[in-house]
Amino acid sequence: MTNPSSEIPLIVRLSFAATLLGVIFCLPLLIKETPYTFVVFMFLGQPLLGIGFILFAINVFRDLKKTQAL
Amino acid sequence: MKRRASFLVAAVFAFSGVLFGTPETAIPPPHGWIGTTTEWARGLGLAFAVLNIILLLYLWRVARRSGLTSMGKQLMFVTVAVLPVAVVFFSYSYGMQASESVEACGECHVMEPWVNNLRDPKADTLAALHYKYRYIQENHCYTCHSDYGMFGTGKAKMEGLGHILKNTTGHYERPIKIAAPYPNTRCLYCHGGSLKFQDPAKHPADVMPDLISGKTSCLDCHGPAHPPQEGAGKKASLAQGKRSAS
Repeated sequence: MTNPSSEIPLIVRLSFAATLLGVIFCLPLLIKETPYTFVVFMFLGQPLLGIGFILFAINVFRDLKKTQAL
Repeated sequence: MKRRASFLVAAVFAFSGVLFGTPETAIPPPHGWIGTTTEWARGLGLAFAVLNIILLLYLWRVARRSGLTSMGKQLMFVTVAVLPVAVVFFSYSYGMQASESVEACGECHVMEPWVNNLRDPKADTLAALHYKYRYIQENHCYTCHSDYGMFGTGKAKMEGLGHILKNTTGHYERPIKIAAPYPNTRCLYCHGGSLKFQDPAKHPADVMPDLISGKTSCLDCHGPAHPPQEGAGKKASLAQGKRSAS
């Protein structure tokens, strides 16, 4: 019997983590705007959300290739 | 359905300025007031961010139990591709507006003397007069220190990011000074069309071309804009590091 969590590809796990961290880094700005929270949002939050999306897109592309949909 | 809608509006308000913000004045809002665009952007941004985190955690829990199903993949698309776009949009929307406030400028310790003077009712500097008599209604620092027009805001925001970077890394020289001579166009954007400005008794016709071209600064007669800085003309001590700022 295989553990279902081991079936989640690493790229998906990384996508999860990047998105979660990205959203968490956006929160301080929305709670209180200061120059520092704005920098955290700009230089950490946004790139992490972008990375999360790109990793997810790569996984979708791989799945489609595997099923010969592409 | 109506109850759900009311709950949603109440939740957005709870997240917005009602909980975290403090009103600057005690003047009651007009009847039917539902908040500013900035407050709504903040509330919606927070609501989407919290929803995104909850859905991500839920999806992770379900995926660990039974793997990533077809439904899970669809939900993942929402949590990784759709909701973050909303979070970033509202964060930008709120952040860009809020970073124009006097409070945002005063967050940097080095700016405190300027902001304190601005808010001092006894001060008679040009900035303080504009603040206490509300010649400028809000975002006083930003209004005078950003160019007008399509690229004015973008340029000011980029310069602002530079200021934050310099403040964070401590790379600025004391006393701080303005990067370029203050352009008259920023004064004339508001005052240029006023009768007081155009009155020949106050601004004779022979002076006008120089004022409009910027050859003569408005501050030559109407200054100082801000109080003189302590230690002006002295270099920053080595203990503070070599700092330079605009």
